[in-house]
Formats: sequence, C-alpha cells, structure tokens
Amino acid sequence: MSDAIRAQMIQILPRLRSFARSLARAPDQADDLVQQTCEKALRNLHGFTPGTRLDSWMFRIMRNTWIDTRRARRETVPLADGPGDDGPGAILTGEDGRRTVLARLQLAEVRRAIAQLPEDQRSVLLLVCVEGMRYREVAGALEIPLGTVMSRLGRARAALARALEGEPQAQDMPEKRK
Amino acid sequence: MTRDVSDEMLMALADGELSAETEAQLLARIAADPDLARRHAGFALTRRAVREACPAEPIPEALIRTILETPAGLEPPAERGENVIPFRPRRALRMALAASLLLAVSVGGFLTGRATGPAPPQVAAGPVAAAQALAALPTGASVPLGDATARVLGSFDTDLGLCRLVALEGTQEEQRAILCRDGTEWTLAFATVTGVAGGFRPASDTGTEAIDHALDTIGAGAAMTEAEEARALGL
Repeated sequence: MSDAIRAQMIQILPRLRSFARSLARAPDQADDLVQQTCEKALRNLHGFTPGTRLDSWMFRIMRNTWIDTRRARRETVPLADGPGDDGPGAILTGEDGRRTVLARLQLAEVRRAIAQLPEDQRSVLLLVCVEGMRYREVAGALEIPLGTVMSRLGRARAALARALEGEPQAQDMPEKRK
Repeated sequence: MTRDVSDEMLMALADGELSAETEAQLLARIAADPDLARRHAGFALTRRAVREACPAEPIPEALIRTILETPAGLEPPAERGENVIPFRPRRALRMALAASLLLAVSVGGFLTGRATGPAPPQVAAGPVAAAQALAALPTGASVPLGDATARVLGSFDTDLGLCRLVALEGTQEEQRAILCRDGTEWTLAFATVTGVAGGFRPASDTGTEAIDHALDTIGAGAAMTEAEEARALGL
C-alpha cells in the first residue's frame, strides 16, 4: 500500500505546497515544511486510515509541525514579496499565455494583502484560487463546514478587493494605502 | 432589483462551483445587469489576482525524492517491537523455536552453497561439546576441541535465557553457533558456517548476517559485560 500512497502524495504536492505557503509564507520555508511533513507522514503511515482523505491527514501533520517549528524558533516571518518582482510597471504573463491586466505593482500589493490575511482565510483562499479545489473538497481537507469555507473565502476576497482598489492601475503613485 | 442574487452565488460562479444550468441562468442575468456584472467581476478579479500573485512553481526534485525514499512506517513502533521480540517462551516453545532455528542452519548452509555438515544432531555435537567445555570460562577464552579451537565471542541475555555465541575454528572450516543454557545442559539454537579456515571473510558474509538475525529473533540485546556474564555463569 505504501507505493500507492507515495504516488498519491506526489499528486497532492501542489496543494501541500499551497497550504505550506499559507502557513510559512517564505517559499523556501514553505518547502522545508512540505519536506518535513512528507517525511513524518511516511514514517507514521500506520496512523493513516485507508479510505480517508490523505490531504486532510497531511494538512493536520503540517499544521502541527509548523506550530512546533514556530514554537521552537519563536521567529517573526518577514513578508516575502514572492517570486518575480523585477520592478514596478512590468507585465506578467498569465497561465494561458495572455498578458494579464494586473501590473506587477498590483501583484506585489496582492501578495502583501494575502500575507496580511489571518492564516485560516489565507489557506482557504490559496486552496480554492490557486489549487482550484472545490469548496466541498476544501471543507473535507480542512475539516471545517462548507459554510465556513465560503465565509472565510468571502472575507479574504473583500480584503484583497480593497487592496486592489487602493492601488489603481493607471496611477503613478505606488504609495501603499491601508 | 439585483439584491436577490447573493454575494455567495456570485463568488460560487466565479469559482466554478455552480451547476451548468444555474451558471447559464446567472450569466444571462449578469449580461443584462451592469450592477450585477460589476459585483461578479470583483470576485473573478480576486481569483485571477491570487492565481497570478502565487504562480505555480516547478516542484523541487528534493520533495519527490523525499516521498520516494523515506521509509514507510507501516506499523506502530510498539507493535513492531512485539513482532521482533517474541514473548518469553516457555520450555516447549523454547524447544520449538530452537528447532526452527536449526532448520535455518541447513537452509543457510544450502543458500551459501556450503554444506554445514551432516544432519542437525551431528552438527550440534561440535558446538554443544564446545559450549560445555567453555561453560566456566569468560568471553574471549578458548579451549581446544579435537583438531579445532572453540572460543566464546559473547554472552547474551535472551528470551531463551543465557545464550553464548561460540566460534569453532577448525582446519577445514569455521563455524559460528549460538548455544543457550537449559538447566545444566547447553542447547544449540543456531549454527552456520562462516568461512574456510584462514580464508577471507567479509563482514557482510551471509553467515554473519544470519547470526545477527538469529540473535534478534531470540531477543538478544547487547553482549553482556564481564561482570554480568560472570554472575550469569555463576563464576
């Protein structure tokens, strides 16, 4: 059974990384967290009940691991600007190859807004919007009610919308507004 | 007029959560209603913004390797321990266990392509005689036994009681045997041929591995210290 689970783990790696990013924020720290989580999960594979959600089980391991790490290090995580901040005004290429309407400046603002969200809102937002998970899947994986998924998602989006509106595209004033 | 369409509905639409039918109806209403269109655009824009702000990065190879190479713990540690260390066998079980280990002797000899000698009882004769001769001697001591030399390599506290690992170095071949004390007698628990006399004997030799396995099977820990051994032998 362990080979099938390894294959499944590789399959859910993207969402594990997204969840890790919602916890750790700095990308290298997030990948360290994913690594530790995979190791722990495999070493404790007997604790996994076949037929239940692997992502849910690993999210729990990851959250506990993160809490332990943070407790041990007691550090403050710097707000990373994320990959690809070459400078204001540059244009990103979207996943389908089209130029996006969002200037990099705005993307930096979005990242900051995401980083400032409470962790529970950030995890739901990333799993839905980045990983493309269904609301019901997220509810199952995070073991929260469907209504909670939607309310967290709604609040996270409202905060992002404010960040986007506060940084109009055509304006030449990159001053951050709060 | 558009307030009967909730934010939840518009968000669900932007996230592709609605059924095809509901989606089509709602999109038709949005097309006809600028206010509804503006609200919906807000949800669609945030989704795209988050996607673009957190682009999918290639998965580091190290993560894949971790998943493929970390040994899987399929049993809880406590249960695993029980599988390796059997409960302290009673006398009948001890004999059965010793017999099964004896079977391993002939199989082991077969696998290494070397005969361990005749049938088990005769194989037993040499090591048993050696153990008797060594019974009052500490680890490291040796006695001559026919044309061979018998030497104690270690004493262990095991599930079979006190057991000793004995080396028999003859002119033809070398043997290793584990013998366990049963009252005043010594019973052969395991024996294997480890090499020809004076020949090269690599550490990973099948015989050596078999000895370790046999020691694990009877629940032997580290070899006894000199004092522990002296106490166990009644010296």
